Amino acid sequence: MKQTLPLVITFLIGTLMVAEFFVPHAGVHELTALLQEWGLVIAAAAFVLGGINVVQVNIPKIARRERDWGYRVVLIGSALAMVIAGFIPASVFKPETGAPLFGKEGIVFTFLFDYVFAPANATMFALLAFFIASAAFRAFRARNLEATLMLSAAIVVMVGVIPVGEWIWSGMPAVKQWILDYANNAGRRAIMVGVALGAVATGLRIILGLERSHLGD
Amino acid sequence: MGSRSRWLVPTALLGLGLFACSLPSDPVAPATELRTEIVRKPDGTAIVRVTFRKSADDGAGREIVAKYQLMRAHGSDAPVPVLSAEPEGASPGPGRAALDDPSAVPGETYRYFVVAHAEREQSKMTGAGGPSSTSRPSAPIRVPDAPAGSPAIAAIGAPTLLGVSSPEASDGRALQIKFRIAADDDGLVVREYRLLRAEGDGPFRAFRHKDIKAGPADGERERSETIAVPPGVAWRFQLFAVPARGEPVAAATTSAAAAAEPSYFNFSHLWLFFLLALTVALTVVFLYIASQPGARLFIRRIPGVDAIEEAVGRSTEMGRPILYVPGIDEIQNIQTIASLLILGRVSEIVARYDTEIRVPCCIPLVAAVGEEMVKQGFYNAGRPDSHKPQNIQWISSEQFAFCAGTNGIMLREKPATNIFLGRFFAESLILAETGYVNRAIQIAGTGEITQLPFFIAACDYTLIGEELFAVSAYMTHEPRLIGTLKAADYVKLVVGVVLLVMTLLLLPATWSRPAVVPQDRAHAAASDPHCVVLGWARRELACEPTKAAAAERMTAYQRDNPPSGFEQFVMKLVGYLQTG
Amino acid sequence: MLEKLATLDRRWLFLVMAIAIIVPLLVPVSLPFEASPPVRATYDAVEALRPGQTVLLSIDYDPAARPEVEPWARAVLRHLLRRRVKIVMMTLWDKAPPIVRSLINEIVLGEYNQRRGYFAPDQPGGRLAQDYAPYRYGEDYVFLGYKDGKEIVIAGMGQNLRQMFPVAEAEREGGDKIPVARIPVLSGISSLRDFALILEASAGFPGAKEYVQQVVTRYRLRFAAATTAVSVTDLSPYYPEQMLGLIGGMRGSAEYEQLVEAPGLGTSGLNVLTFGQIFVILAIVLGNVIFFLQRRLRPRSSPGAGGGVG
Repeated sequence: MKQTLPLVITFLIGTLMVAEFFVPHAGVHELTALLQEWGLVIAAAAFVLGGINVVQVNIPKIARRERDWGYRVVLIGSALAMVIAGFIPASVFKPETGAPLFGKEGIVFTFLFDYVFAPANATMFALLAFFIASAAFRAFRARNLEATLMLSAAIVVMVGVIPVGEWIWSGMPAVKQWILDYANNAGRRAIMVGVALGAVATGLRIILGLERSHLGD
Repeated sequence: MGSRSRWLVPTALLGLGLFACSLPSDPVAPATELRTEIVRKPDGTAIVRVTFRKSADDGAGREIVAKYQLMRAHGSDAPVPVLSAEPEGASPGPGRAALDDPSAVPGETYRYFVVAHAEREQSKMTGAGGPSSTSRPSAPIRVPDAPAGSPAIAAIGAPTLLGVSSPEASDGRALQIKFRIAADDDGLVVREYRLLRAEGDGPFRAFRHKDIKAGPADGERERSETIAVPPGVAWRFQLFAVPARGEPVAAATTSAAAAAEPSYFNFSHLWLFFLLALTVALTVVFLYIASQPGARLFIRRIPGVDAIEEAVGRSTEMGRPILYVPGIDEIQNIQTIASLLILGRVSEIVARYDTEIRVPCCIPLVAAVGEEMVKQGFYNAGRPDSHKPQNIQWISSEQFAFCAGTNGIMLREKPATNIFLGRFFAESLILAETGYVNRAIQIAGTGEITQLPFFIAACDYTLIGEELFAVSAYMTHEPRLIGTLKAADYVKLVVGVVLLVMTLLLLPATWSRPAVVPQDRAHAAASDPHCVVLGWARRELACEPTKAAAAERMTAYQRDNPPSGFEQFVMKLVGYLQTG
Repeated sequence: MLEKLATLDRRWLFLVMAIAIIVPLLVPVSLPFEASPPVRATYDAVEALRPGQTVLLSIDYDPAARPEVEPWARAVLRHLLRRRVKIVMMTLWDKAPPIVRSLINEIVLGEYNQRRGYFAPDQPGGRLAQDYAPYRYGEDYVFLGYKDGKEIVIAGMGQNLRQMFPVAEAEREGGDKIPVARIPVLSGISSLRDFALILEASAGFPGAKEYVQQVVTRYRLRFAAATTAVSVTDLSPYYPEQMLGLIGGMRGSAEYEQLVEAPGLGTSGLNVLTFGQIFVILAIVLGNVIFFLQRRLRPRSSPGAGGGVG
């Protein structure tokens, strides 16, 4: 029973979701929309679980003064600061003119967003520039014919994107575009077809109850 | 019994609440106190001004009136919409308002109505009646005769309703209205078309429907529009042309009654249905083959997956944990699901080797399911006591915050093996490079094509696209699961053959058939926006200033160069496959 | 020596990369470049708008993608103001509302309404119309705000915009929301089909791909978008049939800035990109030179670390 019931539920709901794509009847759509809404509610409720998880993982380690406990204080502290700044209603401290102090459009939240979150976020993304340089130096090597072909195509595309490409040869952007439109698109589509069919096979394995590892089989 | 009665009251209240929510909603309060007056314009012509008190619901904190619309009735005719100077009618808000009828015909007598349209659409669940409401009629008013010498105003011709039916692939809540636009309609004289509808034999009433724009569509004067209607009722429609310059509205045509019928199969998806059915059928066939005693289904080696066990062994020797990242997408993404299934298998190996697995997650629900998968893996390996729930951790649902947290784990705990399977975005290289610096063995896999190059550059093994979905079945070596991989492979073969055959068949057709393409696609030097490619491979171009002129030239070319019998056959076949 | 180079500490590479990025920022060098057809097509589409037509501008990026996509968002906003079209702004990204506010504050209120910067009276002609009047909130432009639901919202807007956005943001942050029925700029707009043009600054999911899949193809909308460079290959198959224009990353933004004569972050960013890209190419070349020299010295040695197995 412990295994059969989940398998039956999976089969019924999975088949319904697939059927929605083929059956335009509004009744089917309403049922799937309702199920998707439930899914959204569960996902939102999981944020509470996530919060509990953060506390459970970090607080004991701070209490025991485990290695690098300071970072955990920063994590809990910054999460709390953001939550407090956003959750206090805007009406708590609202001056006559200008924006309120709290609330998600309040001064505190906006300040944290603009001057802490935004730069930190952009910094992480910007690390890519450095990592690409080191990865390119280390891994991009003409070991064999395929790697050499890929390398040459990559260099043409990179040179074609920047103005120097046009300066070297006016036809460079056109060659770059040709590589992107034909060679690149052909490869992408082949992978996309494979991914789509792989996804269908995985979906079928779960819907038909062939894959049961998650149920302790 | 006690516990049951404890739940009874809240459940009953909840049920009542849901029932109340699904009850048909009341229409908004109608506009009242209609008064009419004649206003003379400087040129001597007269317009009718209707003043009224706005709906009691309007501006009473409920803000549920979207707009007011003026209707007028001539003699005993049904009321028809009146063109007002403001396209949206009077704006909402409390108090009195006025609407003008600039198209009143001199010498005629009219009665006026004001329709208050509700902001809220009809209830989708119950299909309850339209919440707009019509006021009581005004007293009849006669429009004074036109001053001598003023030009006579001719009515715009009415459009012709050709038929009302359920559209293809309908959800049962829509009707398709086919009509021929008014004879005068060149896209300028008529502003838009408006519908009135009648339930069964009842009177025609205005209702909120989507805008039906004037003018021919793609050069065709016969058009169709799909209108949402409540199900289960037969409707009759009247279609009017609303003049753009204030001419009178001509009598409309009336349709026969039709009810919205749902379709039970969307035939435009027939080809996809065939593919899905083929996959299911092949899966069944391979399940049968796999169930035969001694059955062995061949599957090629995937070095990346073979390396997982080796890598876990290495971690155990080095006394360091394994890091498993199940991507950063939501739980419903199929790549995340595939990754969580693999996580179950990997945890089994980890438990057998008695080492530790760290799973940072970006989505709380993924962390919750991931913990279950790891727990199950340890249980399957017979070591449920070794499972540490705190090793499955939600870090942040913010992409780069998650990335920073995971990098922190890598740098502090120095896992000897990093496994990145699932859906990744820009953080892929940041994670993989940090792992590389740690000298960890890295195994990655994703269906996200833009991230594959980064993983290939920085990881030891990369599973490309569909390989990610094969891992779970591959790791078990169970014929039952491998059968589904074989089925997908054969479907891919079928798709490949169809693609190849279609391409070969289409080649001669594209060679000689003309096509209109935008200028830069055709690499034309001229600045003309549209060109006809006469014979694709020969690149013969004929450019025209407009798309319509290019289409005309194309038609002429087709007339002068009729397609051969073979080409006609190919085009029919392709057309069939495209539309199903 | 060779061995030392092959196992070069990557921090040296980081240092050179930092120099390649910072120097062009401090010492601007401009290299000539031409606008590519997809960028020019977007420019032409905006240029073809008549004053008074309504355009949707969807700002779908977060602070991380700001450097790549925002230069275009700024340039196109200036271009739209120059054409005196009505602008409806919205976003599908929860982190974008502050970004939209800053765009409005700086460009609509700061530059256009104050006649400063790009719209200063001493700038070359044609930027301010003869009948110049400041843009008024609700009448000439509006910000609908953020709506959660990703591609479902896009599909919904294709059917009924007001159902997805029943209220719009207030003119000032924190003010009461305004019912869309009271917003003149939205009169006559009931779905995406009613916009003369739909423009999107898109940095990922949900973005341009979802627009094309959900509504553009279905309703044959006029749609153009700017994306990060990494997503260009994802979207290029849609140009020019589904998307009438496509602006790819920093380079595309710079081209657009050049077309509207507003060199800004995109153009200076392109210089940075140029030198960064040249350095990456040099790193690849250097890596390969070392690789070949090593192979010549030790013909049977195994390849170094890294390198993928598919």
